[in-house]
Parts: sequence; structure tokens; C-alpha cells
Amino acid sequence: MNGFDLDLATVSHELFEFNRKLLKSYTTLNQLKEVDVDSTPYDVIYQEDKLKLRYYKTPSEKRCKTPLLICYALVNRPYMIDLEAKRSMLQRLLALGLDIYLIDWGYPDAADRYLDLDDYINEYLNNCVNTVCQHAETDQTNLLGICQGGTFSLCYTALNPHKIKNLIPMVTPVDFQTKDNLLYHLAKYVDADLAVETYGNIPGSMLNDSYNSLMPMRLGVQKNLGMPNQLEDKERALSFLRMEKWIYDSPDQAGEAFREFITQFFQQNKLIKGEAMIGDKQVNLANITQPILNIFGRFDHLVPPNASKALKKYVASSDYQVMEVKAGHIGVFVSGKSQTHVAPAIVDWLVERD
Amino acid sequence: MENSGLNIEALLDAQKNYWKNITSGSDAQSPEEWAAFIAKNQEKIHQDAPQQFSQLLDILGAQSSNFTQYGEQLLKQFKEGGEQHLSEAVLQFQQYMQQQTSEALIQQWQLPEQFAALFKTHSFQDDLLFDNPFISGIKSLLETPVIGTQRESQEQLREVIKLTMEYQEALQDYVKHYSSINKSASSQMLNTLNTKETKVSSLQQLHDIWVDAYESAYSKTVMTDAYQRAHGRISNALMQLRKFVQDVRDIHFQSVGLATRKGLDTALQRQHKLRKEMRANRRDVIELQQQVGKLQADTTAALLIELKNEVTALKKEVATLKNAAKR
Repeated sequence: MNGFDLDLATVSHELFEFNRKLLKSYTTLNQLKEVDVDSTPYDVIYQEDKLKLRYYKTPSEKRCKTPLLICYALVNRPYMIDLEAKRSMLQRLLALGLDIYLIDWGYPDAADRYLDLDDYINEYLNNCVNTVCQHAETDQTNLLGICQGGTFSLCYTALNPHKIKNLIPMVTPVDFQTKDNLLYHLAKYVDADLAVETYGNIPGSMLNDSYNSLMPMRLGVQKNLGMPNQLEDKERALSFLRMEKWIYDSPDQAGEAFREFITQFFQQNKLIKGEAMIGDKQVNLANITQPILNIFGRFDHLVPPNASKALKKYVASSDYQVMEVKAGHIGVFVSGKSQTHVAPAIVDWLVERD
Repeated sequence: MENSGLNIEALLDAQKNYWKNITSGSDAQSPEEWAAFIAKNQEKIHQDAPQQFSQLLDILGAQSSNFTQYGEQLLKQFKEGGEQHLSEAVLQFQQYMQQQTSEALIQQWQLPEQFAALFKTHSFQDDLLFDNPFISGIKSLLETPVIGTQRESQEQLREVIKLTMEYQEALQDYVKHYSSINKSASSQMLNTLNTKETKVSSLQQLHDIWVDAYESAYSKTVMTDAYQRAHGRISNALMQLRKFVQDVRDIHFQSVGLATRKGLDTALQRQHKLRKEMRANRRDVIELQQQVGKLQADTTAALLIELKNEVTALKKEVATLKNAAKR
């Protein structure tokens, strides 16, 4: 075995170091009492069922008279864009002069089992858009959608083009059946109807397992083994734990909405076929003529770049730009590049089109 | 760290000496205080820390214990030296990683509560015999009181056997893919270790090579239709079994006058439908109100214009009469 160059002293030192760091990890964890996230102050300006619409006022001089509404996914929690001060896309956008409205969908429970995409898009999202316009005293809003929230934003804009001024889908699946879309391949033969009949609302932990199964060794054993390195000092540990908190803070998915999303979007790819139905309304992406800034991650393993890039073929926007970020699905929002490049690019693009 | 009643520096020294002794070939006993110390602190943090840390600590504890145990074995193999022992060490490493994969799999495909315990003592590969835990589980289900007619309970029995068999077959099929992934990963790892360019000088590097090999083998397998079908099959089989258990539970609930899941679902569905109808009605009312408002406004405007025209005509008439009177 040519490549085997282990020597006893190195290995024994490595094992000692590992245990030393483990010890340090316990000390660090013992000092921590709370993992704080989502710390930027906001006002709740609208509530409906479990939904809350948050308003963040820019502390700087306002650069855009059109407000920005951020539509997050139903999966996981929206504070991914506000994990901590140094990794907060939200705070960067605010600092750069945008007033921001953010949809927090809340945690569905058994009473929400029958909420469907019609409720989420034609009711909740529509009511949020109306509230934002009223609050900002404008006729239109800019809409930024994240992941599944991006897909919702596309549907909404196609159905209500007059209400949206500029559209920014981020890491958004459009063509759900690209060859490299592993989530689609794994969902292909799963009986979504049976899943909803069995579980009612789909447990968030089940979705987490699905995401982890995309790279089981890297996201499982390897990450766990590296943990003592992450927990050595307090600041680093907090950063790591904030992300862990977000990853495992996964709300259950309202059963009917889940069923519709899996069957119409993943299994039948109806969005790009112009056949997706939201309630009794058919979504035609060609109705979208707004300026679009389509942002995706080059190394995104959840929504592969091709799944997002497909958008150009189906919309009628003459002002269409893409922005590729050298990051993964989450890195687009929390990486250093996101803070220094993505947020400023979004603000500049919006200001130019205000 | 408060509390331990032990000198941390001394513990670390004991650790260092322990590894040194293994390396030098002298007999070494694992420092017992270390294990006790870790266990004690883990317990303390479990009590004091936020809930989020508990799971983390479990993972951390298990992972570090596995890693340390494996490292210890590897060092002992090394003492023997020679190519054969190296191969043995790599084989052990692969087994160690494969075991972790299997554990993760079992965790992922957890059976409904009533069946979960069965697999703890039972291998996936075993054949079905009369007296294995699987059949015992089915028998235990038979012991539940019979509700409804005899025919119904027989149907239930047949259904649960069918579903359980399907689950087991689906799981066997699924596990086969993981055996194949492990095999490919092992072979790829050996290839990497046999290349001149690779120099593995730490356990971490060895670990990384395994992770790369595994992820590569995994991504090839999961893209095949056979794997995707196996994944769908095991997912569906597990859900069918779960649903069956819930349905049976519902029958029992109903028999003692308790609310059933089905009943609750029906109520929620009706409520949801009513809510949609109410929203649609509200929208219709608003639209009608707007139309009425517009109609009223339109009628008033028309009336005003008519009056205005009439006044203008009267003015003209008065003016004409005045002019005529002057003449």
C-alpha cells in the first residue's frame, strides 16, 4: 500500500489531540446557556393564522421607494438570513438602505393539515403583498423568494403580474427534473398521497433525513467527527451551534400543501409545462415580464444550478440577469461572499430599477 | 470545567502516557478516570444545558468513543508492522465505517413503535422462521382483543402479514444497495491508497479518503433507477405499515367511544372547506358592495347632469323671454 504513510507517533498524537479537543468541547458547552439567532429587531405588521409578516426598517438612508418583500420557504425557518451579525444577509440589506418585509410562515400543527398551495399563495402571500403595499404606500412591491419561497414567488407573480415590480428568485427550483436533481430522483417513486394519509402533516425531521441522505457520509459521520474542532472556543462554537439550531429547527409541512408540491412540481414538473394549478388558477410563467435577478449557488446540491437557470426559457422578461455565487445552497446566504457580494448586488440591482 | 473533582491536567497526562505506551509496545490500560470523567461531564451538561445540546452531546460522545476505540485498535495493529497488518488495519477501518453506515440506516427506517423493538435483535438478512422476533411481533398483534366480526379480524391479520412481508423484502432490497455502495467505496479507497501520489499520514486523512470514496460510490448508485425504485419501495412499505397500525388503533378507539384520527381528519377537512367558501363569499360580498357603490355613484352623476341640463335650458328660456319682453 504505497499511500499508507502513517506512523505511530503521529497517530497517537492525533488521538491525544482529539480527546483534548473533546474535553475542551465539554468546557465550552458548559459555558453556553443559550444559542441566540434571529436577533435583528422587527415589528409584526400583519398576522393571519400562524403567519406573521415582519417589518424591518432600514437604519440607513432609504435607497429604494419600492419595498422588498422576502418570501421564505415552508421548509426550515426564515432566520437563516439572520443567523448572527457577521452572517446576516438581512442586516447587510438593511444597512444598504432597504426597508424589508419578511414572511414567517410559523409552525403548522394538526389544525393546518388541509392548508394547500391555494391557501399559501392565493391567500397568505397575496394578503402579505397587499399589506406591504398599504404599509409602504406603494402600488407594487419587489419580491425576493428563497428556495421553495422562490417557486411560490414565481407562481404569485405569474398570477398577479401587476402587483410585483421586480423579482429576485434565490436558489429557486424551476425545472424540478434536471438529471442532477437528486431530491427529485429520491421523490420519484414515493407515494405522496400515502405519505399525507399516514402522517397528516409531514414531520420536519423526515425532511431533514432526506436532505442528509443527499450526502450521508459528509453530512453525517464526517461532520460529527469534526465537531470537537468546531466547539473548541466559545465564539466558534456559537457560530456552529447557530447553524445546527437552524438546520434542526424544521417545521412540519402542512399535509395538503406538501402533497401538491411533491406531485405537481417534483413528480410532474408542471411549473415549466404551464400546467401547475394554484387553487383554480393555472400558472403560466410567460406572464412574468418583470425584471428578474436569478441568484443560484454553483455548488448547490439541493437545488442544482440547472434547476434554477432553466427559468430564462419560460419567462417573458426582457430584463433578465443571473448571478452565480460560488457557494452551496446555504452558503449563498451565510458565506462571506454573500455578505460582501450578494447583498450589495441585490440592492444595486433594485435601486437601478426603482 | 467545574465539578469533576479530578485534575484535568493529570487526566490529559494520563491520556498522553496511555497513547505513548501503546506506541512503545508496553502494556497499557485505558485510563479509567478518563471515561468516568467524560461520562460525568456529559451527564452534567445534559442536566444544565439547553435541550439542543443533549442530542449534540450524544453524537459527540458516541463519535469520539468510536473514533478513539478504532484508533487504539489501529495502533495495536501497527505495532505488529508489515504489509499484512496494514491491510488488516484498513479492513478494520472499512468495517468500522460500514458499521456506522448501517446504524444510520436502521435509524432512518424506523418501524412503527409496535415493530421497532423486533429489529433490535434481528438481522435484516435472516430468513423468516417460525420462532423469530418478526413472527413473534405478528403473534403479539394477534393477542389484541378482537373487535368487529371474525371476518374483519382475519382480514386485518392477512393485511398485516402482507404489509410486514413487503416491508422486510423492501428493506432487504434496499440494504443490498448499501452493501454494494460499501463494497465500491472499499475498493475505491484501496485504489487510492495504492497510488503513489497519496500519502496518508493521519487518521483524519484516512477518514477523508473513505468519505470521498463513499460519497462517490453513493452518488453513482443513487442515480440508478434500481436504487430509486428501492428507495420508493421502502418508503412506501414503511408508510403502509404505519398507516395500518393507525387504522387498527382507530378501530380500538372507536370501540371505546374515543375520537379517532379519521374522525378528526374529516372534521378538519370540512372546516377547511367551509373556510374557503367563507373567503370566497367574503370576496363576493366586497365585490358586490363595490359594484353597488359604483352604480349609486353612476346614477347620482347621471341625475346631476340631467338637472344641470334642465337648469341650462331654463336659463336659456328665461333669457329668451326677457329678450322678447324688451322688444
